[in-house]
Amino acid sequence: MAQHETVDVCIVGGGASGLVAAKELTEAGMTVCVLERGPWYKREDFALGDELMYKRRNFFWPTVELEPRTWRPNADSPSEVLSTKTQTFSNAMCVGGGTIHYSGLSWRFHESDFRVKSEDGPVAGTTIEDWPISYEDMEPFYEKAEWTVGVSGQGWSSPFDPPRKRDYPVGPAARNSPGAALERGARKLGLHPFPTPLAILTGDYDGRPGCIGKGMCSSYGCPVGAKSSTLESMLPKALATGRLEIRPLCLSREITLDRQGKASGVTYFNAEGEEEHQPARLVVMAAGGVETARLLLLSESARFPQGLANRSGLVGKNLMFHSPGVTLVVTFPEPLDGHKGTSSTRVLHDFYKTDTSRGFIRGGFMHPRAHGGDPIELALRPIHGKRWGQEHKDSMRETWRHYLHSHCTGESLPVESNAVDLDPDLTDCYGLPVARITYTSHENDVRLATYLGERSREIYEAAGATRIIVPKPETRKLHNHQMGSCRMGNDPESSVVDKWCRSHDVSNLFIVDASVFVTGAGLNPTLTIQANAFRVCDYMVTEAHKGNLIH
Amino acid sequence: MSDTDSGSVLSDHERTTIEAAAARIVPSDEGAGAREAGVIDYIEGLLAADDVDTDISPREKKEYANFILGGMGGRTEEQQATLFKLHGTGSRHLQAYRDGVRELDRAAAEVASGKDFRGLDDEGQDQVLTVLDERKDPFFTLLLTHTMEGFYGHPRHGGNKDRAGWEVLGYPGPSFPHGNEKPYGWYDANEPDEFAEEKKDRSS
Repeated sequence: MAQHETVDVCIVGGGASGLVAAKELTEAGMTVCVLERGPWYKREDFALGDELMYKRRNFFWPTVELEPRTWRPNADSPSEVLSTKTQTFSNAMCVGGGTIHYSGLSWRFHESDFRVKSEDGPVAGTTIEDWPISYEDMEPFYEKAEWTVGVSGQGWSSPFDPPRKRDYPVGPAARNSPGAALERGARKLGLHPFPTPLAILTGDYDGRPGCIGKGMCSSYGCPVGAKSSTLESMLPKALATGRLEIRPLCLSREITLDRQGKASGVTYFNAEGEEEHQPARLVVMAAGGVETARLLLLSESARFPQGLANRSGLVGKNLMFHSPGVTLVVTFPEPLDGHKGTSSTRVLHDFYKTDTSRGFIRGGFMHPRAHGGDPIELALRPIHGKRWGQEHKDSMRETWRHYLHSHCTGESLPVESNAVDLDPDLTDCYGLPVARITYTSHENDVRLATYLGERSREIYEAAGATRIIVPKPETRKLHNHQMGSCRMGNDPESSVVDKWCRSHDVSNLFIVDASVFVTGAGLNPTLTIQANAFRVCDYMVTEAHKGNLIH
Repeated sequence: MSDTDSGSVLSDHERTTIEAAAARIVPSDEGAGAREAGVIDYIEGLLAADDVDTDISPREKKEYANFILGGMGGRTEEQQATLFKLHGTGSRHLQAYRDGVRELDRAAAEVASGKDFRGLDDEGQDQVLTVLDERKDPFFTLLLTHTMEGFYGHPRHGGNKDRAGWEVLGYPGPSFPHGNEKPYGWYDANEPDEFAEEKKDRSS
């Protein structure tokens, strides 16, 4: 097996958190190798505006035939291979990861999100806990993330936001018509719409241009460079240090151990399918909530028969997906032209705080999204009366310029049996057991999703919509916010990593993706993932300078 | 398949039958339908991908995909096309289409004795397709999906000729590199905006 020269840090996964760590650690003087299973696309590779290739084929996602995953609702049910359609709960597997194709919604979690158990617990059937860190601990790193990643928005515009010391580096995106339609309805109901904070620049910042309103944000890469993916915001800075090597198309298969039981590096398959080993003084996991857990479980040894860093037995457990979300389809009498503008421009947090009179705890938010120019997706939606023929075509004509999607995202409570583990019966094209997801939404999640859907209906009724379709929550739906599978905590018996996201069991192993989340909030996780990665790297650098990490 | 055209994976009969069915899924009216938009060319292109990878193992396929993806920056048009097919859902459907055409003809004979699907009028063809649709026939769903892809998808994959499908919608197509200017739609132009659009430099 080919052996590389030892680096200070080997990072598994070059996405939202992995490239934050790569930038922070290389700038602090460490040598870093990033292993990324997907390709290294460049800005110009996103220029085609091709719904078929980017959204409906496996440009971003692995194929089911080669790298499947399985799902079952509970441990008593047989598992099934996830279809191409449902498998897209995975984030893009490429350099930049999910930040390449996300809508860029960039929230700070609210103060209560870090102490769910003390505020609202306990709740039967869940494993809700307080985080070992507070909003105050995170606040400086949220600010750092907003200013380093490049987030647009208007500070203090939401009466529900946690306290901040500094505004966003650039102002909010120009309001699009879906955003204006939400605002119209929400104002009539006395609610508080505000400009969506987005990891999409609205003017020149940090050497990149602002958004040109071309509309294809969600599920697409940004050919302008305005979207603040880690490909754009972190990678160039990390590469400029001369201390980063990034290896695309390299799938990690095992974290190796030395005789003392410390991580010694990572074994992986290179692009030709040959095994290589990257020795490292520190290993940082950043492969996302599903694959980070899978790699730890794959890395079993005499010392760790249940998988690496898994003395607690909790690796893979407490998985959360922000499901079941509800997506409304709403049409208006006047044109919205939702294919123009920026992904999301107005949002509502009025239903975020717990109100137990609603019959559930926690909350979430709703926002309409520009549809980005996806006529195939619209054509295949079951909203046209008939699925085909003249009636369908006429409906397409009437709907195209007049519709919006409105998304509701609610908190998913952690449930211990919702988990990722190794499928005993199915392997991928590398011969490795695939990730098996066991998942059923807690009843609280379903009530919350239903509630947000109904509130959305009222808002669009007030806004003068001609047609509002509110689907039932899909309890079987998986999602690409993968959180919780290696939760952080102070007690090694009940958590996988400590509050610095350092393994309780393996002192030179860190996890910086959303696996470490204790609860998932009702908000998109990426900014919190990144703020936390900045926080963890700050700790790593401090410890390294003291000689405590790298000898 | 005595009437197979050179270079096509479908026989003339199969090709024209699929084309006729697609033309009922997106009919021609004052605007283009599946026929004018060349949906059949899109479908045939997808089905031709069956030839690409029949003899290689999943592992080899993955390595081939990696090879192509690794060269993304300097990819040729041909490589892009291969990548699309390799990672597409087009592969593996050729047999489903062959069987589907036979089923359309069988069902057509039940509607009008002695006729095949092509031989029916619009109403008869709709009748056959409705039967398949109502019994949730997987081939019909496949054909429906591919027809919508070929009609409304990017012209670079062989369908939506001259953007005919997008023209039906009044969609000018992807707006890169030019972007879009405000106002985008009626509501952002007419609904009062409480939040001033400030883009001032906040770095100080």
